[in-house]
Amino acid sequence: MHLSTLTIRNFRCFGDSGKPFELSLKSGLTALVGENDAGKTAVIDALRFALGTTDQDWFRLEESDFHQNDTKKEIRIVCRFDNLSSRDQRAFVEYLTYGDTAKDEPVLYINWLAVDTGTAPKGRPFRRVEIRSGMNGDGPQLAPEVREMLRATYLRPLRDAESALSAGRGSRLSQVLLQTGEVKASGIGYDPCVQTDPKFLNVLGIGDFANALLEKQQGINKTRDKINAHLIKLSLHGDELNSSIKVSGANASPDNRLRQLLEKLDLSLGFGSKPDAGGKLGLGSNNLLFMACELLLMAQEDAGNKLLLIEEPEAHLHTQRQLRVMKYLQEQAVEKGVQIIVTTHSPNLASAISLDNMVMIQNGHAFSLAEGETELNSSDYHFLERFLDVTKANLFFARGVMIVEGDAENILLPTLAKLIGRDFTEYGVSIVNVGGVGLRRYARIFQRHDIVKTGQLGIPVACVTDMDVMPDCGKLIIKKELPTKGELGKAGLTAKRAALSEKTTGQTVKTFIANEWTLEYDLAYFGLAKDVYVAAHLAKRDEALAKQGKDLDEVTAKKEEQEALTAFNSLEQEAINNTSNGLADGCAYKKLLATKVYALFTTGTKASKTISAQYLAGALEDKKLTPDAWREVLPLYLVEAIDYVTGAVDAVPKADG
Amino acid sequence: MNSEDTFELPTVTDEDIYRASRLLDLPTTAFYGTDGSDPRQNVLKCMDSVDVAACPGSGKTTLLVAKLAILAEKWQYRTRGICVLSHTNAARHEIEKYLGNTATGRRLLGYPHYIGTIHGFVNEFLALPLLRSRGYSTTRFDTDISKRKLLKLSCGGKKLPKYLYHKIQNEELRISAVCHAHYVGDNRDIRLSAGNVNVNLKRSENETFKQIDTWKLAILKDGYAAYEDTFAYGHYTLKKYPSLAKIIRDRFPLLFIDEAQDNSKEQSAILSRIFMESDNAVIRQRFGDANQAIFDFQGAEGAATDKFPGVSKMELPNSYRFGQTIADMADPLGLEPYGLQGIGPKKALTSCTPEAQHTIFLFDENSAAKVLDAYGELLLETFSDLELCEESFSAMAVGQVHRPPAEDKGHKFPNHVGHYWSDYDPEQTKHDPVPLTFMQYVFAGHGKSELQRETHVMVEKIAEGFLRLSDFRTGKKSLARPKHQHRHILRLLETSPDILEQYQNLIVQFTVTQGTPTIKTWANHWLGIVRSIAEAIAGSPLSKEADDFMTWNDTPVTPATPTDANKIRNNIFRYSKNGREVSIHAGSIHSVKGQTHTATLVLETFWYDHNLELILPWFTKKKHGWKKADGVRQKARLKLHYVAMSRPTHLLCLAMKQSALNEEQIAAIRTRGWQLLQVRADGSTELLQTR
Repeated sequence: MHLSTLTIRNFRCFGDSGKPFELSLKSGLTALVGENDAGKTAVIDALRFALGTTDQDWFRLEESDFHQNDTKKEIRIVCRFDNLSSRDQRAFVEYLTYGDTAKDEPVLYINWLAVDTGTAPKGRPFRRVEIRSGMNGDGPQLAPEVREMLRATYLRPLRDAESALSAGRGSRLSQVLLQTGEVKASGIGYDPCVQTDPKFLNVLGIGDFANALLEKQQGINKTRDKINAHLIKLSLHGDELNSSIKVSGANASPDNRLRQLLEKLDLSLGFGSKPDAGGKLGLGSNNLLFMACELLLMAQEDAGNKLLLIEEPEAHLHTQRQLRVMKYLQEQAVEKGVQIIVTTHSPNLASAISLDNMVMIQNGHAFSLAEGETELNSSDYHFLERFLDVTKANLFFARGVMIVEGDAENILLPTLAKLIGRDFTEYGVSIVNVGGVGLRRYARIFQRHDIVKTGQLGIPVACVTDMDVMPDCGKLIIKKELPTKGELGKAGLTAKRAALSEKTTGQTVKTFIANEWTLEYDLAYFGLAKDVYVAAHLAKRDEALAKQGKDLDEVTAKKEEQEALTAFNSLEQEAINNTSNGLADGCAYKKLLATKVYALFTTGTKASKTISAQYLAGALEDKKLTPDAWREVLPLYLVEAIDYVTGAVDAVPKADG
Repeated sequence: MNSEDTFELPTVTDEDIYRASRLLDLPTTAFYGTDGSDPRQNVLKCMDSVDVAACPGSGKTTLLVAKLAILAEKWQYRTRGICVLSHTNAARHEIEKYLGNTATGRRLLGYPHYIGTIHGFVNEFLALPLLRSRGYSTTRFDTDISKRKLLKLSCGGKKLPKYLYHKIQNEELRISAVCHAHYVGDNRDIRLSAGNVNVNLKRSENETFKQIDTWKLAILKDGYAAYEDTFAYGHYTLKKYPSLAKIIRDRFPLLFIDEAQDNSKEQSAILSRIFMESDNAVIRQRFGDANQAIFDFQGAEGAATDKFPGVSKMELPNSYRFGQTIADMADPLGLEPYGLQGIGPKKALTSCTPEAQHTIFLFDENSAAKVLDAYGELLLETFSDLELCEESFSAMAVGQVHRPPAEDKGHKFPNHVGHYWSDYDPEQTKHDPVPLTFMQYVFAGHGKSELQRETHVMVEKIAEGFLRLSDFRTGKKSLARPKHQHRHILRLLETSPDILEQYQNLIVQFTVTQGTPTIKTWANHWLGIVRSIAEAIAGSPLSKEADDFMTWNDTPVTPATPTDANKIRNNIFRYSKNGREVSIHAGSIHSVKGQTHTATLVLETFWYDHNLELILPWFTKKKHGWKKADGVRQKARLKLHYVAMSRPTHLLCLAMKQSALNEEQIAAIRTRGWQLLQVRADGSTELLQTR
């Protein structure tokens, strides 16, 4: 069976007004992603309360666990389990909830209800907790034995794996070993009457054998005899005192003796070449070992749910290891039938998890990214599986997302945002560069399939794209097979714009299309013609030098910049002349100049857009202008896009069902 | 290999049996007999489906408890359990009594096992889960409330579908039948029944059916159903979810049924459907005694299919209760006598050797009222003072009929227990009837509390009374009835601390400081407090009907401790002579089922004819067992008297009309070991001499 739905009311950040927090889960692995304080830990803690954990840590309900706005002071956590095996069905038969027809598999609901009674007998606030079955929490209370079967395994963040794996009373390692069938099954017991090669003994046998040897050991026996010699002198006639030396605990029950032996064991890790590194390994490696142990234990569980909760599995692990761990967990989930829920802040981990298994926690609500839940279609899932890499996985942790089609935008937009006073890092905006393809696929990650049911994500997403229509003079200067504005006419332009926008826009995703043509053209057109020209010039020189194996040093750069400025002045003059001579094919001066500047990227030895963007970004940052002044000279669509992703968009609450 | 997935039957060894004997504080020979050949050991070891036919006093329940203790110790499954079903919670109480303080006992009483009544099982595993899944959250199977609500919905039985006026012409019967409406069978058809009237309504669009179904559903929405509905919901669930039977069999691969002889047709059918029919039947072991199959309810029928005992059976013919003489006297009355052996009683009598003189009292119309005196006299003669004072000493006088007939249909004297003792009150032998008023709950709790010397029984009983009272609230759903009712009330009152204090105060005063209220303090003081507490629990004002429930009523519903004041009330007849005294409990044969007495007197009563007179051929050993030609009535008669005659450990007596016996019969009876005493009108007796 697996946990399929988790509903939380009035717990920490999850309130009860409108629709409660509801999380749908699939079997296998689920990763909870989202920015800090979104409620990821609250989800895990809710599960720890409702199901209990195998570490049996006492987990106390605090005043602050009740949602602040809750006047009822009643926390309700409901877990629904689906896909019950025949074993689960028989184990929970008195607790099941049936569907309408025989075809609907029975399901199991666990309701965890905590009420703050408002009283404080003996000075301690009394909070009553009840755990019941039934869809509405009206079934019988769960027997303690049933609770045992439902416990989840919980691995806390930044856990101290080393101490958990060390010897000691009640060590986790001894518990793990006790549970494995092999420890008890292999080898034979020790029988003092039969001579057995010690290597064939089982663990308990080895202990008993050692105890027997100790008790017969000569040195010990001689000492005992000495003690007895003294005792005889001290005892009364006919009432002789006698001492004997015994190994402590040797008469305990077999289970206790075995446990004591296992508690003497340490688990340490070595590399193939250095098999005994003597426990000097870092926290990260120990962490891995710990996880492996817990998984081993869980795979042996034969009843109830196999649920593993891991908070931040990336803790103490370097990036490559993180990817390995994630892969391993996903494999184990499938192979051993273990359900795993992880929370993570790591784009690294996120990039290794398939979208289907991901749930974004945002603003007190859960948004599963599984197929069917989003507007993504199955080909999108295949595509994103391949191309959603670490750099793009940022988008899962952002408050706003800017999706762009090329490197130039990727480089320039953060700079432009900073210039108009909307620093992306401050606003928690991630920029995703899709590299020319799949802009819409990424955008659809943020679009819900059924907003009535799940509400919509409160994350503003801006898709920035080119218009791909030339000014009329473009045909003259740039030999490109693109329609011109004149050809399309006013109606044609509006239609094209609408068509471009329609493909992507929807819910919190908005498309921002170049007002004129492309990024570089629009920058030049709206007021940065000179800067774009210089940057393109420098980029061309840079590339030429790079071909000779040289760098553009500072002195040369200064010289080139001067050269570029001179060239730009004559270009400006030329544009004025062309315009007044009517050679501009009907284009006004601004358009003609921008077209001429843009020609640097498209004709002859083309300037690299990426390198130009770097030069341009540098140059703009050096300019001293106020944010308002910058807004005047920047293309409108970029300013709007930046404002959009940095202005908080309210999540539209789900309609009350 | 997964240990949970395959079920292997545990094996029971001699060592296990010895350990169980120690756990239960029994001698090691308890299950082996002195010569080691006792069949009980085989019952403990047997792990196949089998029926155990156990004679009276064979220690059947102890044997079952021992077997369960052994199995519980060996049980290693977390998701499978043992299911133990009976008609009453007797098996559960027995386990609590013997094993309650041991780890084994606690394990048995909890998950994953089930020990309880058949009705409780169907409720918990079939009916309630289904109703919950359909959104009916708290359903209480309470025929009383269901009846009341049906009466209300049908405007006091005045607005019934036309068909019913035609079908049941007598108005009283018609209304009663409608109030008894309950579902039956897979499709939840409706059955109306009252007296001999039975009307079956098939589930259909038919107006009559629809009307009553609508009422039943409205009541269900309020949280109530009739007790009889449980099985119908059970069958419906099994039909709707055919895989459920398999799941339950998976969960409970071992089924024990105690008192299997008393399974009704309905119980037998649903148990068979859940556990036995088609493939994958579970291992079922039934314990019981077909000879003692007598039903608590008139009209209840024994199961005709899946008869107990079946083909594969084991017999326990030896009784620890009584000696061979009593065994020989009772044995012929068994339907299929299996040669009852008496290897008891545990303690021989000091005053007479080797056995008491089993006696038939012979009376005539003038001396019937003196039979109990004669019996008392015999008791004083037979038992020493020491024996009379022993806690376990009990003398009974029972008859098949203990209630005067409703109408005279040519009954002949004597026809019921009252003819031997005019103070006898048949209403009081009911065991644990439902109290009718709040005060009766208080008194019932008080009585139980005194017996057990624990206050919690009384606290629970008072809490139960409060919840019952709070159910009389206007237009609301039924209150949940959880296991711990007192704690439940404390919770409900959490929000109103003043009332909570009043409640706690009341509990303390009733149970500890003041004891039960008097008619004065009740009217002047408690009545108002009880009402305000109940209204706080209910969350709304109480309806008119609540007033009846709160009237003063000090007739105890359950026999309280035999203090002097209520001795007569409890049907205890006292006989004293020369400063020695003996108490004789009077009652019906039904009421002493399962009991052990020191001495039992079986009184002649009349059911179509004089019962003992008709059984005479079995006393003289002319007849042996039951044959078809003897008739169905004779079968019932034999079973009842077999039960009665197998109660005593030491002394068995009968009381018959002297005129019923002729010389030949008297001679024959005497050879069977009976002494015959004539009772005279002055109460003295004379040994009957033969010519």
